[in-house]
Amino acid sequence: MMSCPNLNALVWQHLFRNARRLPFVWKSGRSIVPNGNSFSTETKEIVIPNYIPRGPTDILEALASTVKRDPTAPHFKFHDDPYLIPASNHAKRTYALAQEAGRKAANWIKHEHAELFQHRNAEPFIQAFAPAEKLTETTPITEDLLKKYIHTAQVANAIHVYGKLDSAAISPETRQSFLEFVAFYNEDDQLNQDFVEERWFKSGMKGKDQIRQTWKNNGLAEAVFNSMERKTPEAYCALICGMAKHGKAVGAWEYYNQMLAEGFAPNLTTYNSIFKIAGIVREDAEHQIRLIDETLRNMVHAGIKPNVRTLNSILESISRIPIYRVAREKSLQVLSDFKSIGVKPSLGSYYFLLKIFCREKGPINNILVGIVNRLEYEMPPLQDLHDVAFFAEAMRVCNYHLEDVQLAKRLHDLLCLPQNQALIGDSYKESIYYRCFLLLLTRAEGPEALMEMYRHLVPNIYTPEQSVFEAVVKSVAECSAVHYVPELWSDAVYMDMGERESILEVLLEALASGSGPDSNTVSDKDDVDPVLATARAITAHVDNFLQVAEEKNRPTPLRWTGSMLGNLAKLFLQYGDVASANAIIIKVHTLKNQLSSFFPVATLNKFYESCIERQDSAMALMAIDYAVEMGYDESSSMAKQAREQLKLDERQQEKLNSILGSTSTTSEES
Amino acid sequence: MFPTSMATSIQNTKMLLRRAFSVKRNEILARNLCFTRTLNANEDQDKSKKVVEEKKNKAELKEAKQKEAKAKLNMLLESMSKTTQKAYPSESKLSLATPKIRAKPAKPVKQPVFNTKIEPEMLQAVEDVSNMLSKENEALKNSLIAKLEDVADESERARLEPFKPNKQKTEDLNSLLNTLKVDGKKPKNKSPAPKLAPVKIEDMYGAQPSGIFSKAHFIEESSAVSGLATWDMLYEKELELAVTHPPANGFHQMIQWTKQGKVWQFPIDNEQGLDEEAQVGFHEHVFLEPHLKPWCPRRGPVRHFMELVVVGLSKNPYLTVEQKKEHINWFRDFFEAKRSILIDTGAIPDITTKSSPSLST
Repeated sequence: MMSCPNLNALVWQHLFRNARRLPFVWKSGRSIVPNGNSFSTETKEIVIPNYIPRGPTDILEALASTVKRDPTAPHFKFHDDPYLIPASNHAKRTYALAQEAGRKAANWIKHEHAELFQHRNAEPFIQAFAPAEKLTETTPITEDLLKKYIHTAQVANAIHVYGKLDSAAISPETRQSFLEFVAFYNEDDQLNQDFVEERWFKSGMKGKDQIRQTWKNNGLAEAVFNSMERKTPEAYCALICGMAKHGKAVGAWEYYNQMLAEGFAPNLTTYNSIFKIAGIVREDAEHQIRLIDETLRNMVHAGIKPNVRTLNSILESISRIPIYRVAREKSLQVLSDFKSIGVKPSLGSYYFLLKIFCREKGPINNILVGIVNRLEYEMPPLQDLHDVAFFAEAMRVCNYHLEDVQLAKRLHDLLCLPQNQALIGDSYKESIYYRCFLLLLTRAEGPEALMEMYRHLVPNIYTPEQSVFEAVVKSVAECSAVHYVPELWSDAVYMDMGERESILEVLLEALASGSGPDSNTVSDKDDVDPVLATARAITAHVDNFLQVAEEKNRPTPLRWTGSMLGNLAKLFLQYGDVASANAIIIKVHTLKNQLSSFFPVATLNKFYESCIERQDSAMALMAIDYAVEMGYDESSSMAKQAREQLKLDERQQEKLNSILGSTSTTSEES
Repeated sequence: MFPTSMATSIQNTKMLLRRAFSVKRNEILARNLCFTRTLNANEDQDKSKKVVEEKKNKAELKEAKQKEAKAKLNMLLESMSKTTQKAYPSESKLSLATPKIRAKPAKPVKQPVFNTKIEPEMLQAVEDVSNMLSKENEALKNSLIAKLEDVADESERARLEPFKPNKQKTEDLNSLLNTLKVDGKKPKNKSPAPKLAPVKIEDMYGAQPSGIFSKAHFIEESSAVSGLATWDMLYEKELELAVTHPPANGFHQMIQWTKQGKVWQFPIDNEQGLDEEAQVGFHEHVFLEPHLKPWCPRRGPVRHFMELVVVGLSKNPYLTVEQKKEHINWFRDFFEAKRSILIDTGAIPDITTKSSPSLST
């Protein structure tokens, strides 16, 4: 993994990136070892660098920044075993969560049977490995225990301890801390922070765009607040922040007014919460803006300096204004205002700007170009929870709004920087990001460029969804780049999409879109053209799948369709593979009306002509039979041709007559 | 090059007509109009054909768009040996060099039209002219037509010169075009144009500030201390969790473990986490004799034993100083309890002769 020859140099570079000078620089450039004579003069020229305090993870981060992501390898979290490399989204999710489930099981045993894990062989003892102390009847309930639970974010335990404690015995500071704690988490127990995978897959589930009221009315937070004899401003602040965070805007607004009426000054976090709910407590855009301005003036009056989260809250509130022009003008004004006091926007600010400027039905706006220019120059540090939503939204805008592939690539380069990779958010945002990126490429790029990026991303970094994969195949087919189709087919099988009808449809369509065998490449008899081999593989794959499903009596949504068989037959004829083409026609003949779409008449004609060429009257009769069955107009001319140009024996003659007989009667009837 | 030759040929026709008959100018103009209208009609017809072909031969069409490429191909064509001929589907025969641009001259596909040499309208015009100058009616008409035919031939030849559209060549060109692998860049699927005009933002900070902050005096501490310590702590925690993803390599894994407190931290330090021991000096571990001073006799078997104990303790790395002291004190209490026996055996002097219980003199 770490065979980089320049590793030392890289680490060195990283560690001293922020230092003013490299250490031990001799200005004179002479030898480092001082000789006796010049010692006194040399020492004056030594520049001793300032001491740079290092955190415990700095050296590790420096080392990590030297390792780039290897697109040819599965993610680090998966087992390094060929049989356990996942390709489909489902497998990726299952494997990762299964591994975590094992970790959870171990954790559970550690908790349930803590007495088995009493050995302490590390000195000093590593607290993270200690089994958690269980709350039992005999556990001494103290205020310190409550503080500990608050600090480690164990909500259920903290609430339990608080309930057991004598409320008079709790100090006001702890009570305030507990109120903030309960308000922040809204009494919901939190996922153990060690379970990275579960959080990675879970966080995408909840739609964060819509504000839903999840605040527990008359819950513990309000009870704690009411139990306070003297309501402090901090208590008001905590309650207001909690309500605003969990979507109870009206309640937060009431307490805010109550607080102001009592003459308390809200703090910065509270002001930020008020900006966030400004759009809900004031319906009208004009009033909303007035409320924002008024609150800002209050802050100025109180001497509270707004920070970047203030900016983001204001922009979030503006992004909900439905009138495009108003939202646009106000947001730009706010940006200028905050620039004047030196508050730089974070990625979250840009996220809301995109929401304001690039609306679905609004005019096309190029604000993202300016944002990317800025980000390439300087990446703001992580400051707001909304920061992680930026990249997915920006790529969505690139795809659906601007359709700018160059910009999308620049954005992707930004994300690929080692220090930015964590900003992707979670699995849901990641899949939105890559979906939009790949969809944009399918529309804007030629097959070579598209496939280059496709190979880079798929399947280790991203597994395309069905629709995205279809778009890729269609894009390749549109340019008749048939030579890519075999690769796509093997990917489809690899990603568990080989049994989906729509995927098979587009793949076969793509295969048949070519112009036939390239006479230069196929010289050897044994060397089968990959396109033809793919067509045979698909046929065998589907047949096999259907057979297995039938044997096991399993219902399957996959069926042969007329267009699939048509494309196959067309391809086999193109490549002169008569036997396979015959097999297809036999399939058509047996399935007939069970086919969900018609076998294309053009291909049928082509096949028929080849039958006549080969004097294969049996197959020709089958083709005629199908044509008659489906009521194609060509059937009569085909029959005529058969009589004239084919040598039919008596039975075949008879059959032809019977086929034609049925058509003439049907045509008379109609 | 085509338009110029075309223009000159038309010019020639005009001059010829003027010189020969000195007819009224406007009449000629009218005739010219006639002529061009036919041309246009032909082109339109051709155009509709092209649309059909367009889908079939995208790549070829694109190729055809570029005049230079055409000229190059032509040169290539000339240099090609006849042996490389190939039979190609007939549909590609028509696909040669069909530009979209209307202003371009007609294509070799229109050859049939020009094979009639002179169009009926033109013939009619000639008829009309000769009728007007009724004298040498027939002779004039014939010579006029002959001239027109000459001009038509010549202009036709000039127009098609770079193409040399004989069947052989056309097929060669087709074969060449078919073997070319053209990078088929697809046209973008344009979404329906939005109703509103695109808005360009040159500078994000271009707007005039509202001036809310113009006279603001902020108390610096206020932004640092929000007054909700727990809330801020929890927010920071959530922020960190938002960028904590499954580790991407071994170093990331170690970073995560370090943050969770599961591995020792860098920089390497053998005494990491031994905070209590750090408070205690080395000498307190090693020099334990002062702890004997208050109670131990200065000489005798007890002293001798206790010195051995102290030496042993000073070399023991596993006990804390507190434990060592405790150990010593245990012996003190032990000897205290066995005092009578010790006195009897003479291990320590009698209590009556020495006042101090510790017997330290």
